[in-house]
Amino acid sequence: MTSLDAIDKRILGAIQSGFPVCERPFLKVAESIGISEDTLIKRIKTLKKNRIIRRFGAVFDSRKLGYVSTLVAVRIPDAERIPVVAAEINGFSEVTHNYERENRFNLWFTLIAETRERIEEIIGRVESLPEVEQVHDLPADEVYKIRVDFRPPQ
Amino acid sequence: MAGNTTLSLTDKKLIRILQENLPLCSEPYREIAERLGMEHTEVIEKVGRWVEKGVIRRFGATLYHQVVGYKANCMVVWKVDDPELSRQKGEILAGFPQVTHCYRRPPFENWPYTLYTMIHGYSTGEIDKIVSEMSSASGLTDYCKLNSVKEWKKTSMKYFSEKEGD
Repeated sequence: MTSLDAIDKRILGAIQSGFPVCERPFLKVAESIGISEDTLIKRIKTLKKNRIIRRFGAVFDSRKLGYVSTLVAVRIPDAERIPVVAAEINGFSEVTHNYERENRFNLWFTLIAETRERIEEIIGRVESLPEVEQVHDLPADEVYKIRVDFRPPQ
Repeated sequence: MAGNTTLSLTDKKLIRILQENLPLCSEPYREIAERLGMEHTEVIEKVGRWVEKGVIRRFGATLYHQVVGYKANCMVVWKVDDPELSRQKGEILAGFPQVTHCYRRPPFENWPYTLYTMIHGYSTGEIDKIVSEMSSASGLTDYCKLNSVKEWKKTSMKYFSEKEGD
């Protein structure tokens, strides 16, 4: 990994959330960290090219866009078959997270789709996989907290 | 369409651009406006409103895992005996700064847990300590810790993708 200097770190600390929405947003950020707008833009381009920044854009709230979501618990009795099932599940673009966990339910994935019908269709396909013994659809009925996880780099 | 009647075709096009990458230039919203045939101020007002209303949850750079340092996450599920107390208990758990997500989900056979909390970026020892503090604070003693062993997928959702048409 390319090493980051002090300015890069300041930039990364400043641009991971709350990006300004105004005519000259980069100028506003640049002023807040004491560099020029031009330097900021060039540095961000380099950070993208060097694979430090993966994406520079917005994260939307799926519910507020009218999408539906759920968490799905899967039990795969033969743990050696998890990679096969995980690959099948990951093939759906509606699957955003998929984690293997220490439990009899050993694979947990999240789904975001346009309709409940589509969610049920995908779950039905997972249920029909021969390696899968149980599938549970667990849509949240109340949300107490959602925070996007981010930390400034060390 | 996702059951949302308030988004116009232009809104969806704007969402498609914003969920990918903002142009890296002095006036990024002007460049987007030009691409969509909108006014510069119109784009700024619309995006500003989405940020204000929480339609945009976060706006800025997402870093590669290797940079942030991928650490295991732990999902802890909790049993709440009295469903009436769900919200109260959920809010106590959500109040812990280490908890990034907290939801209520339905129970199922042999699985009485209904409160789901996510804890990211701590060592196993730290997680044990946080979870026992959460248990004392909430009075919930029946819980189950599910550490992540492997991340098979983690992506950002792409809304209103072109293939679906409009």
